[in-house]
This record gives sequence, C-alpha cells and structure tokens, in this order.
Amino acid sequence: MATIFTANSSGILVDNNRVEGVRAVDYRVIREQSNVHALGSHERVAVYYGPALVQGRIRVASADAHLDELTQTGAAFQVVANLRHAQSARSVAFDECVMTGKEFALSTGGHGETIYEFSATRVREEAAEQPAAAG
Amino acid sequence: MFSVAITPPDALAGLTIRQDLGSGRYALTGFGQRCILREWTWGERRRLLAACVSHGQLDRTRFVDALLGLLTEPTPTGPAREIYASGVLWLLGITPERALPQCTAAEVALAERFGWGPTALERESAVTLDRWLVQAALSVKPSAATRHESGWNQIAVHDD
Repeated sequence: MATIFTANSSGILVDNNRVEGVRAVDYRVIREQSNVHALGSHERVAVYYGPALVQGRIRVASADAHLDELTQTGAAFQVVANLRHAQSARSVAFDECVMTGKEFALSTGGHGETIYEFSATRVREEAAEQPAAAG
Repeated sequence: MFSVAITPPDALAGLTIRQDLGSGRYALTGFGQRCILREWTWGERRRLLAACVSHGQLDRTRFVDALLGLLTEPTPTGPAREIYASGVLWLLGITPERALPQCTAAEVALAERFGWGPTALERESAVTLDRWLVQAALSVKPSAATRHESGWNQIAVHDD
C-alpha cells in the first residue's frame, strides 16, 4: 500500500541543487532474504539476507537539464526530500543513486512530464533542522 | 607416537590393525607379516581407476596389485596377500556393494559446493573427500533467497 508524504515545493534536492517542477518522488525497497532450517525441527533457526536495493522515480513537469545529464553520464548522485508535517520536519535521503531510465508521459490535465528512474544503495530518514523563524 | 586399535570385520580375522593418530597411517600385522598403509590421494585414486577400469568394468586383479604397490610398505606377499588386500580395501572404504566412484561428477560437486578446482583436490585424501561428499549430499541447503518488495512510497510535492 502506498505511503504518501508531503514535501514543500523547495524540498527536492539533487546533489544539493533544487530541481524545479518536481511533482513527486516514488520509491520502494527490494530486499532478498530467506529462512534457514535444520533437520528435526519445523522452526527456522536463522534468517540470512541477500542484496537490498532501492528503486525510485522522480516525476518532473516537462524535464530537467541536470537530471538529463545524469541519465547520459551515469554519474552517481544524491536525492534529498525535505518533508513537512504540522510542526515537525523530516528529510528522506537517497544515497549513491544512479539513473536507470527515463520515460515521458502525459499527466492528468494533458501536461507532459518526465519520469526519471533511478536506483539507490540506501534510503535514510532523519529529523530535519527546523527552519529559522522569520525575523 | 600414539595409535589406536581398529577392530576389523570377521572376514579379516587374524589381521591386527592399528592407526597412528599423528600420521593417519595404518599398521597391519598378521600371518607373519607387517605392512604400513597410507591413505590414497584424490589424484592417485583417479589415475588408478582410469588405468584399471575399461568400459565400466574394473580389472580387480590389476587394481589390487597397483593399490598394494602404491599404498603399502612393504607390499604384502605370499598366501596372506589376499587377506591383506581385503584389509586395505576395507580401510579405504572400498566394499563390494559400493559402486565405482564417479570422480568427474564428484569433482564438479566439490567445485560447486566448496569452490575447489582440480589442483586443490589432487593431494587431498580421497577418503576424507568421500566423507565430505556424503555429508554435503545430506546437509540441508538454505532455500533460494526470496525477493521481498515493499510497496511504493510517494513523496508528493505541493506548492506552498
């Protein structure tokens, strides 16, 4: 089941640079694991883990030059999304990302959007610094 | 040197067997003779079988002669030679009901299981590797890793 967070319009950064026109960032974690059993018991005795991977998609209105360049070069990058909920703030960071694909789509309302697909080594959530109060 | 007595089956009555725990070698005594037996290596067994097996059939006489000449010191002689040969075959795990070892298939199994190549196997004890192969066949292997995918999460962007 999808979990939806809300980010403010300045909240999506790629390599610390704001990406204009981001509509959403989708992600999921894929992990391999299996149970180890032994003779004489139906209960598992251990769990072993295989590779874990994060898959993500950045939906951008129209397109973004920096993301296009990353798709061409295959260079690693970082994505950080700053989330806001009531008085609390969190950030979600995707580390060691590489682009895996790009596709064009028409969103509802007939507007074009580019979907940049990427994979990341890990996704981290942490409390974000509260923005300074306007003086 | 510390050795232990090995109790042979009734068919080898008259033969006394002791194993030196340090070297792993066996001392066979009886019928006025004594010889020392060492275990054969994987490479030795493969070559010996290749020389003595033709069209799936083992030339037993040739095999036993070569086996005694290779692994015993001194080589048993005379009427007692046959019982010494039976003792050697028993200690090496070669019994009439056991099929000829499929060396190539066993080597592939060892390579897959432990990552050992032919060079690594060459000098290893064939008796020890046989034991490992039996255990490997009996051991429970973990099931193939299952891929678990979490649901998609979305970070939706709304203008302030």
